[in-house]
This record gives sequence, C-alpha cells and structure tokens, in this order.
Amino acid sequence: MLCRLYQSVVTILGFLVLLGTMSCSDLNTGNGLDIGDQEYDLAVPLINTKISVKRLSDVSKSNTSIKIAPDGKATVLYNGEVIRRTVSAIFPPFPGLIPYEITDSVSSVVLQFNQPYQLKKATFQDTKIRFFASTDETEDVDVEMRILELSKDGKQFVTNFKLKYQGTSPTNVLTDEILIDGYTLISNSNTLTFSYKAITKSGKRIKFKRAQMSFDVIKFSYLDGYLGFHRFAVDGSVIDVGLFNNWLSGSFDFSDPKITISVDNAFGLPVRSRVNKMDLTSINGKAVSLQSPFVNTGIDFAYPSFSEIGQIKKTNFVFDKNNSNIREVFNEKTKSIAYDIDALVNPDQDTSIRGFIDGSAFFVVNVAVEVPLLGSINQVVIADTLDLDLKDVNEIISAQFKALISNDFPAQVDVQGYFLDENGKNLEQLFDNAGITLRPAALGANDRAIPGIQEVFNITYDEQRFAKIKAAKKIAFVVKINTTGSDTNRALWIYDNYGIGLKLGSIFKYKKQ
Amino acid sequence: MWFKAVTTTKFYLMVTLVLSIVSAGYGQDISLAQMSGFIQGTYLNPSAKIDKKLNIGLGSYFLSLETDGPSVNSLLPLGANGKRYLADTDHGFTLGGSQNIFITNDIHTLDLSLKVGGITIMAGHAFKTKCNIIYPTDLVSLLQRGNAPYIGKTLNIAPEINLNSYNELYLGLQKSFGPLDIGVKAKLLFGVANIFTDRSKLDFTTDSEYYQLRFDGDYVVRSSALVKYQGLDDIDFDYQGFSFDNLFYNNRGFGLDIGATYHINEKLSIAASALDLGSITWDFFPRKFTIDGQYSFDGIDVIDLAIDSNLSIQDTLLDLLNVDQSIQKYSTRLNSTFTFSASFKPSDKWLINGMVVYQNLNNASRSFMTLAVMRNLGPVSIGIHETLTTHDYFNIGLSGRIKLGPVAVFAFIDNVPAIFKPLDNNFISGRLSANLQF
Repeated sequence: MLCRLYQSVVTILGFLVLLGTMSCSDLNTGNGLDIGDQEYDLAVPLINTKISVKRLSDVSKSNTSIKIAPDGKATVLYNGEVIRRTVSAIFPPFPGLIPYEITDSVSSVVLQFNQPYQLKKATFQDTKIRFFASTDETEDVDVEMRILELSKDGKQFVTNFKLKYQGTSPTNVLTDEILIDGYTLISNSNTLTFSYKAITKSGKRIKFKRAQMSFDVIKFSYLDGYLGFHRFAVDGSVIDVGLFNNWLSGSFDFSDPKITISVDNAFGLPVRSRVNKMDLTSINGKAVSLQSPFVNTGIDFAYPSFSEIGQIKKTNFVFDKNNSNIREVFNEKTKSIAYDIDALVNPDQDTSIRGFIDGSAFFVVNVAVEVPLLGSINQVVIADTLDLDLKDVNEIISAQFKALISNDFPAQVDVQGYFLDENGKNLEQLFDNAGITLRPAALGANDRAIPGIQEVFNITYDEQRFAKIKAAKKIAFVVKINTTGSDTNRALWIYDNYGIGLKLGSIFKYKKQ
Repeated sequence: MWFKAVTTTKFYLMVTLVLSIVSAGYGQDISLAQMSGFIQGTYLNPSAKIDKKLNIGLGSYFLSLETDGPSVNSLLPLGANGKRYLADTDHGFTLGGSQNIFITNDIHTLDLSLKVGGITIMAGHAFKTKCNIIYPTDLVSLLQRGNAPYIGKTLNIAPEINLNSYNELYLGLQKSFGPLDIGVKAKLLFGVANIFTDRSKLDFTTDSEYYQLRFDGDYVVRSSALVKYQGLDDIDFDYQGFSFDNLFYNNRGFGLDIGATYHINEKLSIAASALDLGSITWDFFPRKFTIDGQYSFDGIDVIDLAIDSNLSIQDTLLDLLNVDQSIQKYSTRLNSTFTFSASFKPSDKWLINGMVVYQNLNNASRSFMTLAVMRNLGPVSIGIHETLTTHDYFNIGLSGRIKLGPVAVFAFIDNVPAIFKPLDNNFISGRLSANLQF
C-alpha cells in the first residue's frame, strides 16, 4: 500500500514532466534528459477516500459481509459454509445386485432396499432392467412379459422377446437392457408382479424352467410413501469472527448478536435439526457452549405438502439473547464459532407419515453469525501491525503531510502509530505527541449521528525524522475507540452512511540520489 | 522510475531541437539583399533586379536556429553523467511569460530566370520547413522546482508547436516601370508535414486544500502526416510522411510573393516586399487532437486500491487528460514576412544595405533591423552586418561572395561568436548558394 502511494508520488512527478513534453513514447526508455541535482518540492494528493459502512457493504464479497436494513442500520454477517443436499442423500442409487426370481407365469417379488421404505408411488429414472429365461422346449418360444404395477402414460409395462432353439437344450435367453425411465411403480407393498405368456412355435403355452428379472441400478425421480429414517451430518464447520481480533483492552457490548440457521427445503419430509455442538471460542482460547432449549430439542424445518410439490419451504431459526446465552458469550470477544449439526429425516420414525421426494429436490442449510451493530464500545484499544518497506523512498528527504479527516461515527477515535525496526524497537512515532483524536460525530434525532466535521491535521517529517523511519520494517497502529455514552452502556446503532473521510496530501522534498 | 519519464526517445527529439537552438536567421535576409543581381536576391524581394539574360540557381541551403529564451547551456546544462538536465536557474523568467524557438530550413533546389524583352520570367522549386515552438515560463519553472512552490497558483503549461513543411513550385515575373521595379511570384504549394497548435490553453493548478492536481484545458493540436497519438506516454512522429513524396499531390496550397523597388537615384534605392502570403489546406491524414474541459486528480481511493490489485496510478494519471482524436481537414497560413529596405551603393567597391523585417508566425511574431556593408574586391566580395532585435543588440555576421566568370558562390554566417560557442548563444544561421549567370 505504502509502496503504491510512493509510486504515485514518483509517477506524478513523471507525469508533470510528461505534460511538459507531451511527447513521451516509452516511460522506460533510458536516454535523453536527466533530472537535475536540485531539490524538487512535489505537492501530491495521495488519498481521497470515504470509507463508509455502505461502501464496505457494497464491496464485501467474502464470508464476512455487511447487511443494511431499509432504515440504514448495519449488521455484520459471518457466513459459514452453505450445505446443500439432494435426493441422493435420502435415496441414493441402489445397485441391482440380486436378480429377482420369476417363479410362475404370474408371480410377485418384493423390492429389497437397505432402508425400510414403504413406497406408494415411485417413478424410475435412468434405470434399466433385463430378463433371463430358460426352457427345455425343442422349438422356438415367443414371450410377452408384463409388470403389472409398472406403467407409463397409462400403459402397463410390456416387452416381448424370443427364445430361439439352436438344436440343443436347454434354450436360454438374456434380453437386452430395457430402459424404464419414466415408468411409475404404484404399490402399497414395494411389490412387482410379473405376468408372462410363453408360446412355442407349435402354439403350446409353456412355463419357463427358470426366469429372472434384474435391475442395473434402482434410481427414482420421484418417490412417495414412508421413506425411512435418515440422519446425516450437515457437517461441522468453524465460522471465524474477526470483530475482536485486534482487541487489546476495553469492553464491547453488542446488544443482540445472533446465530441464524436458515434452511431452504424442497423435500416433502419432516426434517429436524440436531445441534451436536455450538461452541463459541473467545480470543483468549476459552470455549463456551451455546446454551438454549432448542439445542436440546432440535429445530423442525418446514417442508412442502403434497399440494406444494416443487416448492421450497424456508425456515429461519435464530439463537438470540431471548432463547440462548449468546449475548453474554459473544461479548466475551468471540473469535470463532464451531458447530456440528445433524439433520434427521422422519425423526420420529412414524411410518404412517407419507412424504415425498422430487428428483430435483434439495435442501440447503446456512449457518451464520449476525451481529447487528447496535451496542457500545467502552475505551476499547485495538492494535495492528503492518509490514513496511521504505527502501525505495530513498530519494525523498522530507515530507509534510496534510490530512483532512471527518468522522461520522458517534465515537471518539484516538490514533497513534509507531515505526518499528525488525526487532520491534520503536524508531519514531507516526503522529506528534499523543497522536490524533477524531472527535465523535454529534448525535441527532433517534440517536443517529449527524455527519462529522472535517478536521485538518498537519504532520511534518523533517529530514532528520524522515531518515529515522526509512529503517522501519513495520508500522504498528494503536487505536482507541469510545462510543458516546459507553460508560452507561448506551447502545447506539451504526448506520450505513457513517464513515471516515480521509483526504491526504503531502509535500515531498525530492532529490536525486 | 519517474526520471525515466523524462528520458524518452520522443522527448529527446524535442529536446534535441532545443539543444540545437542557437540562432535565428536575422542576417539571412540582409544576405539576400547583398546578393542583388542574382536570382537568390528575389527570395527576399521578387522585384530585386536580376542581372544577365539567363540565371540558374544551382541550389541554396539555408538553416536558421534561434531562441529568444536562454541558450542551451544555460537552460539545459550538462550533468556529470553526460546527460543534460533542466537546471534550477532563474533566467530572469517571470510567471506567465513564454519563450520562442524558431527553426527555418530552406532548400532551393533549382531556380531559373530568363529575361525576355523587358520582362524577366522566374521559376523554381524549394523545400521549406519553418518551425516555431513556444514554451511557457510556467512550465519550465514547474519542471525546475516541482509544483509545491506554486500551490494555489494557476500555471500555463501548454507548449505550442507550429511546424510547416512544404514543397514550393513558383513562377514569377519582373518588370520595370521607369525607376520602379515590380516583381511577383505565384507559388503552388504541396504540404509535406504539419503540426499546428490551434488552441493552447492548458492550465495547471495545485489546489491548496490537500494538493489536488487540477487541469483546465482548451488545447487543440492539428497534424498532418507527422504525429500519431496513442496516449500521453505514446506519441509517435511518423517521419515517413516527411518526404518529397507529396510533391505533386495532397495538402495543396497557394502562395504569393510581391515586391517593389524604387530607385531614387543611381546610388540609392528603397524596396518593400511581402513574402509567403497564402495558405495550405491539409487533407492528408489531418488529425485533430483536443483536450477540452477540466480534469482533476484528487488522490487514490483506498477502497478501490484494496479491491483492485491491478489499479495503476500511472494509468490513472495518463488517462486523466482525455485527449480526443478526430480526422478533420484544416488550413494553415504561411509564415508571412514583410520587409522594408534601403540600399546605398556609393561606388562599385561598396554596397550598404539597411532593412527592417517583420515576420508573422503562427501565434507569434518577431521583428528586427539589420545594417550591412559589403566591399567588392574584384572576384571576391566580403561583408559584415549587425542585427538589432528586441532582445539582442549585438549580432555580428559575415558574408562573402566569389564570382568567377558565370559562376558565383555565396556564403553567409550570422552571429559569428556563436560559431565557437554555439551552445552558449541563442542564435546562429548560415546560407550557402551557387549560381550561374549568362
């Protein structure tokens, strides 16, 4: 950052020269005019920015974002991973491992699953079947095979195949795979009934010596019935809360921090969450579990009824100060929140509950930390250290900075910085004396601050002082924040139009080295 | 990096011009007056009488370099590393002023005159280049010291370049009416290359609030066949267009020289002329570059910088001045010259000329007075002259002529001391001509 600002200084000088010539073709060409040995005094606008809550909200793209309410009140959001589950989580494709025996010209089989499904209606998708038949007849046999519970567009499943006698017995046939995509099974007992007519070339109806039907894989685009009990993890994750990372001292009081669980559910099944873990870890490493009745009982998610197939039902559940201890725990400077949540499908295992799953159905779970920026900050001191490399600014011998700063927040902000060498030794301070103080913006109606007044700060780095900071490898900022009325825990909202305005210019004395 | 910005090839070109500037061709005109009787004398005044029936000008080369500002060594001294730099020297400049650089290069390839009865017919070809560069004092001061000394002040940083290069084909007549000689030349012109600064406002202000850089521009530069602009850091000069290729097509114009000489008696005459009246219409890739409006650099937005790792301050600055380009035909006037002279020939041995000259340049003008004396020593003649200008009072020049039979050769040099220390002087010029007379 500083290097880029320095680059702006030298670029501006080059730019001024360029304007003078209006004929530069290549900024990197090395012949022609040189600059003199005299000192140049360059006045440069370095920064012109308004860092407002609204702008931060607009540019935030990571898991941390700022949500602005219609009335301008700001809330910080720390989003966890978004968990998405599709139909395959409830009914994964089931491989057709075992062929079903067809024991008679009319015979039934019960479909075998790894869950106690009670299918009422199931539509196959991308599923193929094939038949095997064997006979000792010494002539060709024509076969018409039907599956009575299977139909598509009102027509029962039927297929024809032939056993061709080759001069030796028995005669066997294994049919090609038959796609039953879109065929619907309607049954109360997971049953398939096969009915076949096998007639020899001479017109005799026979029964097979042996017959089978097999699936390649059983996959459905729609299911309804009792679809079994399932428990699967939404997955454990950790949400980093950076709010207190640079805290040194002082106290916060955020009035209403929340953990929200929001679910979009298109499964037509009862789903209940089970919170296995919801631990808040402070910046000191202390972990405290979230206490709430809902942690124990779970949260039931809304789901669409049979008349709402294809719709997505939303559930938003909030752990807040009214149903949990989150306010107390969070204000102990939470650094991260670790959670582990299960989703239970048909949690009561009530087989009388008939549900459905559409092939495109899914459910999405999002866990987030919401911190409405309502509260108070009392004498909080934060600090941060940035790496610094000023070896490229050797040609600048002194500088006079002029900063025009406006503070729209109802908080007094005291700022000081320190230039440190590689061992952390303080070489020089950023601002004179105790640093600069940004006075709090005055509060207007409804405790909303009126825009702050621009204040002017002049900071002079003479040759001696500037020489000191050239050896700096780090710069440490120490910022003290105190919101208006924080001594009485006066809770104030942060609004989207609040911001810090900074206009920074400098006069650099430049001399070619 | 920044100082490299001033060390570019194209910039060097411009600087080279400045480096070369040591003179103006004040004496050139008086040298032509000294060449009375030859066709070269008609360059100054088409009524200047040509001796003999047939004259063949075998070529005349003239180069003149001049500045009314400081000399090269004063403005751009040589640094220890062998490179020149813009020194922090006062030069007596005051903000708001400007300095001129004048460059003239005339090449007359062939001139003919034929006396038929009482009329002299003249014809010929010349390749002429006239350049006038104006650089404002404010710009020099800015580059000498930086912008901080001028916080809150508005500086004019617009340089002007006017360059006219063209081929000239002329046909002229001379006729005497008693003591009055009249001469006229009509010229067909074919422009080769041009740069013309049509409007030249480019104000620069460093705001006192926190040093924002403000530009207020109404700057229009036109060019034919010479300038190619891609960006402030990418301006090319296309020298391929700078040739004799446009001799008979493109960029056509018309010019006129007229003159009159009145012989008061056998020894004394007075003359006046108006030269290069006319214009050229530039239609060969006539580009128009415009900076119009107010522009400002207020600093970097920290948020933009944070979210855009590719944000380039250099590009931001270079894009700051929005230079609009278009193709548009335009016309430029020739640099007209008006002379008034007197010639006194007390004997065959001596010739004394005095002359007042006014030149109307694009966006500038200049005037001067010259007094010249020539001594005829048989086949050889030598002369000396002194030129007086508004900013220079002591310019001594020399001239010489050798005439052997029909062959005559002329040489002339202005501001003699500049021959020995050209970079410490601010003007020099010279002419070399040859002629046949029958």
